[in-house]
Amino acid sequence: MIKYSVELENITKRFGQVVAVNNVSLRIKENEFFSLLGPSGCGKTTTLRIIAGLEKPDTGVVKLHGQDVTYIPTHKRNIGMVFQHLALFPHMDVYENIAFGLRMRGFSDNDISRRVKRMLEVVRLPGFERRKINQLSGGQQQRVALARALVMEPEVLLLDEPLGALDLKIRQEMMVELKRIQREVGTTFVYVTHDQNEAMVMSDRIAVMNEGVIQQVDSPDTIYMRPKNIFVASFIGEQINFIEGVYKGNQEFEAKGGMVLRVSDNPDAINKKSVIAIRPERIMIGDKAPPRGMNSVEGRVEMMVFKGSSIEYRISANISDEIIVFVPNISPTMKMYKIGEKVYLTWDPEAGIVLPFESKPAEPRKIG
Amino acid sequence: MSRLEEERKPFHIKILDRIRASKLLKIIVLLAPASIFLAIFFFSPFIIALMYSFNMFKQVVYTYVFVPRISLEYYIRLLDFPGIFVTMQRSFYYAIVTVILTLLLSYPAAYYIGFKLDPKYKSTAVLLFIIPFWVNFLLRTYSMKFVLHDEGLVNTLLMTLGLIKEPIRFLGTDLAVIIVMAYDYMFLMFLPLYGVLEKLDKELLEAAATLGASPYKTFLKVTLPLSSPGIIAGSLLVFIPAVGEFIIPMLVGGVNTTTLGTLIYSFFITVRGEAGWGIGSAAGLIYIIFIMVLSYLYIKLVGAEVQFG
Amino acid sequence: MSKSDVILKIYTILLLGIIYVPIGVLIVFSFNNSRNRAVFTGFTLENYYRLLADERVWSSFYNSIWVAIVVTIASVFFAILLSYAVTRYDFKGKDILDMLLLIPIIIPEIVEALTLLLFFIIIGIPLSPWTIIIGHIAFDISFAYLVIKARMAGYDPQYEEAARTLGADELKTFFRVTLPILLPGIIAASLIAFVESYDDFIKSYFTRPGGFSTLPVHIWSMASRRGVTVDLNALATIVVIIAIFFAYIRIKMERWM
Repeated sequence: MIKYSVELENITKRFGQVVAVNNVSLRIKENEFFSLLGPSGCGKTTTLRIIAGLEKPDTGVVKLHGQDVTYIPTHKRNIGMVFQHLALFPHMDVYENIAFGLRMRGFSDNDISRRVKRMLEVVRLPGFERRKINQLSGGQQQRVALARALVMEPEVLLLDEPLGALDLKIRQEMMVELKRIQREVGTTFVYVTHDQNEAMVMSDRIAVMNEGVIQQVDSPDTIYMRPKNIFVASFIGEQINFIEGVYKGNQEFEAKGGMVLRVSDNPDAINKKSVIAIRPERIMIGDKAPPRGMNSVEGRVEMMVFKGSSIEYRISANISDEIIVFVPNISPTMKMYKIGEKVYLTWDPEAGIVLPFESKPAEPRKIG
Repeated sequence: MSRLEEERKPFHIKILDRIRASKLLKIIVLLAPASIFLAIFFFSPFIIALMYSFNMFKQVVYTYVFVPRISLEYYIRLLDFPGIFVTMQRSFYYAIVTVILTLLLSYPAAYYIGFKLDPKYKSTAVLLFIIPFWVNFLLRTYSMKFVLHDEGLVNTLLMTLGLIKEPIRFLGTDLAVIIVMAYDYMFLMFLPLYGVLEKLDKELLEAAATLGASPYKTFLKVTLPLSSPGIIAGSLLVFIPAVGEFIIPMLVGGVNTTTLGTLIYSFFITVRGEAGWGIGSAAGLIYIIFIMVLSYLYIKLVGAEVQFG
Repeated sequence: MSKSDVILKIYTILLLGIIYVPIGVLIVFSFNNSRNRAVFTGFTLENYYRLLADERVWSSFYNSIWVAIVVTIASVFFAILLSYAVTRYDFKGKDILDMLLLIPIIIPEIVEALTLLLFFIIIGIPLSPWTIIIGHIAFDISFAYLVIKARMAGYDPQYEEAARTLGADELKTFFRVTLPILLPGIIAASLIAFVESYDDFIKSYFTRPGGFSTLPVHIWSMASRRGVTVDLNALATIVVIIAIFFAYIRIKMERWM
């Protein structure tokens, strides 16, 4: 039987008129690195705060390790939390910050000093006991916040966008660190972020949220390659192409203008207004019509951007005004197409995912 | 804990949980002590004074009882008081002259420190300006009395230089009251002026210059209008206490320097009794209403951001 | 530097000098060995000996201090609760409350003091040191509130949530986290509240019982005599030195905060 660290059952939370969390149910497995990913205001932080007990749900049940904790106040739940602004106590040094939770629970001085020392080793800050918080770099503060939250050996560690304030390099370094620490301490991590890169790199599973509703819960590769709806498809990844039309069943999709494209099957979308979602890197570009059996569309180059590791083309075709194509830069002699040139786009039927025309695509996304 | 256990909690624990959970109760508990204190010892005295000024209390031996009546007697007696209008006029005259004097004296300094001075010396200069005003008000006033005395520093200096033959009589005159008020209240004008001038964008003046404005025109058309919130705030901060000032007229003034403040003081302390308190309350309330109106106009005009030293 | 800038600079330096003259003269003449007010005839400490032998100076100084301490504790306590409610919760009438709390600062003190005196008389509360204390608290709440509120507004409630997730209950959170972090603001507010009470003359003067005086009241009784007396100069010098000491602490506090 699978053990769950956190179970949410039909959680709803309103703030005035706004439904921040709408009937959310989740099961987070033991020792899992689980991310709640979504744009700001999607309800991910509220969900995390409900798990912590910092917010009370209007309806629903919160369980930690199978125990109903819905009515248990925060300080009696066995959780650790790393806050967005870290909230390291400015009037205490590193040692006292980490020791705080142990003191609250009445550990002996010997125990406290032993555990703090061990924890500082885990986060690789040995000898930092007497440093003041404002003498630490952003990355070091991060580590102290982690140590403080983990020193109680909580059943679950909650992290609320803790890397947001760091610059890119340190953020990447901390992502690796977080993953390492998670493996080392073997605790369930619930990680809230709006940054898909962070979620992709670290998570075992990701829950994508929007407008208080969970859109999809899956592993990072499944979320990327098999998005369940238009929102997830557009929110995840750098770019995606949507081609409107109707799915006829039997892997056949009729695009605008009557052209039939071969796609992967989606029984939910049969005879409905749908879109096909295709990642730009799955489309190939060539100057000759490809052999039969592949999807093939004729188009014209509207824009070309050399991006170093790849070349981005924007192609107009009769099925869509703009199809984005990423061509990996594999050779100095590869052909580059000029604006106005006629090209053929081809892609594997499996690359075209049919999605019912229901949810809205994500707002223009922040990059990085 | 299951919901069933929640139900089984003892009653008093449930009540405590309720208080803990109720935002409204928390707010009430936090606001109550100060609110009750201020309601009793700050706001209700004004209501008592208001009632008293309408003759709604009557002395019975050593206690006062409430009488349900409204009479304008004390207000009429206040207006009938000999010299009342001259006194009012004088109070306004002192206050207005003080406002103008403090403005003229402190604007150039505030402009220089806030706008021209190297930023690293600014805080020191402001500090140097404020330190004398941290000295007790009475002592500051007394020190001016010492300096303005017939045999004080000013007269001695002027006589030594041969500018005057006889000492100038400052004490007991309007001039002394105004000089001392300007000295005592100058920092209240300086601080808001410095506040706006310090934030003034240098580029605005450069922009005016590129548009062909002479330094004089730039000052008149750009700097001065932009510093007007500070001028208004400073004027109000000086005017309000100046118009009811009683310490300065009593210490350095004389028989011809009675003001609204000294009048209220003498009704309460010298005249005393039912009439003294009644007329004094009436005068005090008129003063307060006047100030409330001024403050209200200020907030309407400039916004609620009052600057304090 | 342009010519007008030079003129401005000279003016500013002159003004900064002149505002120190009256107090400087006061101090210098506190060491004068004659009662002459214009000419320094010789150095003496006699004025100080006479002052320090004066029982009334000591008792009024002592009164000022203990009154100010009681006032500070009470008004800072009230102000902490008020600021906490205002910065942490949203409720109706918050703006009005904010405005009402400015009134004790705006209202001229003489009216405030006299209405309070009238109130005590009408209600039948005999004047005592406690009536002075009540009067001082009434305006000190506002001063302390302004300072503490500013400090609290910059305080991140996440500190408290962090403490809760680390197992601290409300009480422990308040005493181990909230209070220590807000301490600099509270100390600054206490200092201001203390000085405002210690320096206050008007309210003390009107709401004091007969025979009870604070230091400013005693200064008044000396200063309001006709003419000037050098006796006061020695006392003034000491009071000025104390004021500069307070000013120094205040500056240090601002740097530290």
